[in-house]
Amino acid sequence: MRQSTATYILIFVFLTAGIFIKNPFILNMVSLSALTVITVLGLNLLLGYAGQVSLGHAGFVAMGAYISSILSIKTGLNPWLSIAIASAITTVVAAFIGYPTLKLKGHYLAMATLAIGEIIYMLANNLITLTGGHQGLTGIPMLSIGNFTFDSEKKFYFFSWAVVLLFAFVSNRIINSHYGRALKAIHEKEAAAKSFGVNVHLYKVAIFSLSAFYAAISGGLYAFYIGFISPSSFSLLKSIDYIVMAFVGGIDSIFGSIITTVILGSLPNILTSLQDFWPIVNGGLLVVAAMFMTRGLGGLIKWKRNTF
Amino acid sequence: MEKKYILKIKNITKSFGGLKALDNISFNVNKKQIKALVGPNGAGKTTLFNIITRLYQPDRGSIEYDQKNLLSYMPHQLIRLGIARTFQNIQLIDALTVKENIALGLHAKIKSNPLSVVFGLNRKEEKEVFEKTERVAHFLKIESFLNKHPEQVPFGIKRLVEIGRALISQPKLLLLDEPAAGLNENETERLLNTLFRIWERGISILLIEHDMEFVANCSHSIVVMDSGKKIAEGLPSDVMNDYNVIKAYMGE
Repeated sequence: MRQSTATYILIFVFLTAGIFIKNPFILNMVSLSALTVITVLGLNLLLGYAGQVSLGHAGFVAMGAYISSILSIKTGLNPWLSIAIASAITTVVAAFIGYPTLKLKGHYLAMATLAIGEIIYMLANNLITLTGGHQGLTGIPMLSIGNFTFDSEKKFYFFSWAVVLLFAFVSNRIINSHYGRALKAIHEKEAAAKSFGVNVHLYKVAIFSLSAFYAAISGGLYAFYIGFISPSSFSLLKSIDYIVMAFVGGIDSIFGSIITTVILGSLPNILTSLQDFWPIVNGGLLVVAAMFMTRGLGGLIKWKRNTF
Repeated sequence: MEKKYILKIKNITKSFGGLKALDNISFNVNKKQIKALVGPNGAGKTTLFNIITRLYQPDRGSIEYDQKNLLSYMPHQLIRLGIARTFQNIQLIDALTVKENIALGLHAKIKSNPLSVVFGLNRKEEKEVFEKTERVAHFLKIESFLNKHPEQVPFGIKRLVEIGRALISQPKLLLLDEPAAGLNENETERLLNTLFRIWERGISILLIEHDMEFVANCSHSIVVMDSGKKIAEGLPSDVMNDYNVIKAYMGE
């Protein structure tokens, strides 16, 4: 089976499951996972395809969440418009940040992106008049379309998975095009990519910005769903969570990433007694995946190639 | 008047620190010519190759290609000018199939933009890309490997896949970096045959090689380099007899 087909079936299963799940706790948990999936899908493109690491993606999620919330609270702007503007701003900011940083390689890039994430986290903590500091922002309005408000867990569940479907679709289209081939070439053999006309640096910046866009959308939707945001939701640990989810799922596997993100996103909520120890579990998983399963969960399956 | 040459290398000099890697190198590659650049290790062949492929900037000198100043271009722009290359240490992408690796050579010519990709309007073009891929594979007689990954393919075939990736872009000038390195006798024979068939299609070839026998068999003209200097240029038969060449290769 083609991986894209399997991915759509998987998302369809989640959508149908929403009809049968009554428990609002589970609906809420899986919706939040869906939002995380969006960020991880973006990271997939960056990490798995272009081969560039980012340890600061929680920062872009934060930008999406904060900018959109502030716009809607302070100016009464329509939430959808706020999210769109916030995501656009985040994408542009990511391009400006990415332009110099993506000239770095390996550990240096990891350190630079980690610093970017930390700077955004600090800003969220310290620009108190705008962000409310560590106490966070409250009173973020709910999303609605006309008279239809996403005011229940169930409604938001379907919406969040529909958004996942949209982003998975976009990712699939990119991956299975000449851009996907170019990204893989950048990942493995930059010199070869260059000599066949791939503007390597431009592609890196573009995919970095696109993955920041995914993150910002995810952050914006999160803010308007929960109605409250504070810096602790966007800390370095979150960035590491995203890396673990993408890596354990298979850095170049959308299918694997979705499954892993839902599992790793939900488990800490189910095993509440384990919650404080969760970073240990996460770290352990990363080590195991790095040693025995370098292509992740999705790499265990032999997919049919998507060429004509 | 139309010029006889496609590539004119003039007075190229390049130093790394105190080491003069290239000292005043000049020669032409004529249209529809197979030109070879030979010399022992450390002669400066690869440095010159890296200057032509725009990875290095020379200290002095000029390179004219197809009436353009080649030194004003960046590496990723060469393919659009009609210059394609292969690598000494194979640079195939393991995550891609042989088919997709060859298709990569067309990257610069693909017109679909991100929006048309997202809306699936690139299907027709992708189909054409893979049809061309199959034609190139047929020309190189490597069709049976198309759906395999590079790691599943013999070494000699990998070299041909690299040549295929360069050929699909329909270059005017093909740069081959040690194409015969590591090949056995049969594979070398097959490579020679392939090079002639490429040349028959009117493509100029510049190749770096240190296997003198291979070079003598396949090229129209040879440039011999040693310690950054050009020490001989001419027909294979002349150069082979040249005393300086023998000295550089054999020692005194």
